[in-house]
Amino acid sequence: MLGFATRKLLISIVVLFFATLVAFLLVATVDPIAEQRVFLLSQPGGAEQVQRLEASLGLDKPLIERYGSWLGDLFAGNMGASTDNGRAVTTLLGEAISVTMRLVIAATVVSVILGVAVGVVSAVRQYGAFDNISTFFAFLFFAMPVFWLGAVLKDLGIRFNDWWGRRIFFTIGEQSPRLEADFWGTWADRAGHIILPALTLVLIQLAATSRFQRSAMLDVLESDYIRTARAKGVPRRRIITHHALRNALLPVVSFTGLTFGTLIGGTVVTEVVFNWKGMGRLFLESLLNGDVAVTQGWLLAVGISVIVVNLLTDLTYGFLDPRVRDG
Amino acid sequence: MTGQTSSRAEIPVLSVRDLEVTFPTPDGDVQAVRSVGWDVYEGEVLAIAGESGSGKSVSVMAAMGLLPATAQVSGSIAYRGRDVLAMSDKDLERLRGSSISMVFQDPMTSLNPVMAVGAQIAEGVRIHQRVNSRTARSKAVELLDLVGIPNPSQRVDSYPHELSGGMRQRAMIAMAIANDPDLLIADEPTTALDVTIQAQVIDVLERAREATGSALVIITHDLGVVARIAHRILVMYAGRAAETGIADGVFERPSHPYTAGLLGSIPRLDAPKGTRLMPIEGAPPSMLAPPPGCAFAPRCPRATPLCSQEIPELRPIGNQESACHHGEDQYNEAEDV
Repeated sequence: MLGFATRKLLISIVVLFFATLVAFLLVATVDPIAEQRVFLLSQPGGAEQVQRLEASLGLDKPLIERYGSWLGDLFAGNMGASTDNGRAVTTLLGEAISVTMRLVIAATVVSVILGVAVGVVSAVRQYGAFDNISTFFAFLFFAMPVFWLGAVLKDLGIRFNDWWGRRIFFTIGEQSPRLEADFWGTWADRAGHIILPALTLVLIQLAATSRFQRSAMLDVLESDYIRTARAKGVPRRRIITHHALRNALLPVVSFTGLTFGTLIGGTVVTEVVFNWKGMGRLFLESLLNGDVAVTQGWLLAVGISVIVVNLLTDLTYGFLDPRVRDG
Repeated sequence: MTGQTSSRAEIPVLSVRDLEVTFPTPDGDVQAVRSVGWDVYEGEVLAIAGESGSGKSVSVMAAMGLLPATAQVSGSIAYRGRDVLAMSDKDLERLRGSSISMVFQDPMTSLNPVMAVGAQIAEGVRIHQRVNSRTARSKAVELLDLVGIPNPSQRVDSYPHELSGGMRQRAMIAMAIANDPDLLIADEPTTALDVTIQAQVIDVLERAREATGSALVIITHDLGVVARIAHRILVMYAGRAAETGIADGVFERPSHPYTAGLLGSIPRLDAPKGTRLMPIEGAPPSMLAPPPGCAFAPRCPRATPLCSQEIPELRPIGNQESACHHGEDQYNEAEDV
């Protein structure tokens, strides 16, 4: 297991290196001063001004040199500053990530646990009432666009608050502005804010996860080693928990790792719908402002998170399946 | 005392009567087993032989309660007088793996890939005996040693993918005899293995049977296996018994043309030079709509119009029983040769 983990870690480091290259190139190959350039060149003496501008932004140096110095700064913990508000990119990313991670982790944990449970029950009682109902809702939510589901939940949340006469669901922001409360008060406030956006992500992710778990479980239940376990006299409940589930978790672990990137994308949209000051808003603002350093930093941060999640996926897989460990 | 033991030996461990198994499919009902009966007595080795699809496996799966829920089963299966078909799930769980246990065909897929083999053996022990995990584990090591796996105290922690096919089948056998069953059922235990290890696995099976004193039902299409270890044989064709009797007797004087055909299609070292192998022409019938009369008639060299009209019942011929209208002719011809 240790050798397996080391191998996976080394591969991750190589992938990480490529991620820095891609994050840099995606942004660096776009001209950040395209508009000014057109305007300045139409003015007398504009050519010199363009040159000065390029020099101040370092655009006159070759691409490889710019990458080298960007990477050097990166290792020193310096990702540059926002051209929009002058704040350090590391600070901006730190704030945004802590907000977004709350949403992503909550949505992942809830959707995986519920997805596995729903999938297993559906498979064990295939074509039963529960299976049919969960199949219907899985397809319903799977087909829904994130922004639309978010908007619908927001509307339902407000109607519920009006009907109840108290504000249960908050629909704007990750916490109330200028909140003055003790520790528990703060968390209660955050919980009220997180329910609807997390539910948006959970419903869509749950749909896919439960379908995946169901089919994996059905496959496993048909397999020869389940028949062997029955022939040994293993009680049905233990067959499901000890023999089938562990094997049927393998595809779902891969699936969860693979769709993590999609989840980040869904989170960006959800944050916009619910006005969260997280990674989604940071990314959109950096794009709209042509804020090169922030966009690069953002891409890299998301790249790293995907790499880390995939590393965790591989390690979990290795933990569950001895064949992978030795392979 | 002796009288008691001998009379006890007369009660079969497992008795199957008029067993019929049908699987409903979109194309119609597949009649996998059409009225079969057999007994197996204490310490005895019964071989059930026949081609693929003759209903051999299905009839023992029914005895274990392992058929899919869609299967329609009628007739009776009695384990020491108790009706297996009428048992509750709980009673079946208690029966399986302790009184009756089973070795399956493909050791590559029949072991759980994410559980160490020792843990899979120990699990069976702990389910049926009140022992702690240490005792169960040392029992697993003992069993692995018994079935001839080298370094059992290390192999106990191996995963199935770390073992060869022959070793896995040995582990399966260890699992099956873990609770000293009265009856061991082996469903084509050597079919998925290399020819070179088939004989070893049969030896291990025989040794395991002797160590536990259990009866053995071995399902096979390999008559070499039958000749090697079986006391009695039941030849099945298209879901029915074709012939049954003492194995040696049936080999010497088959009283059913199908048995004779099976024997004629195996190469023999003692056959005169230039003797040709005689394959059975044609293919087994579809079990969706088996032919009226004798199912073997379309392929049978002895078939007469009677054969395709009337289903032959199993009846005694010599020391055997044969379900053939022309059983006597077959039996007597064999003597002439």
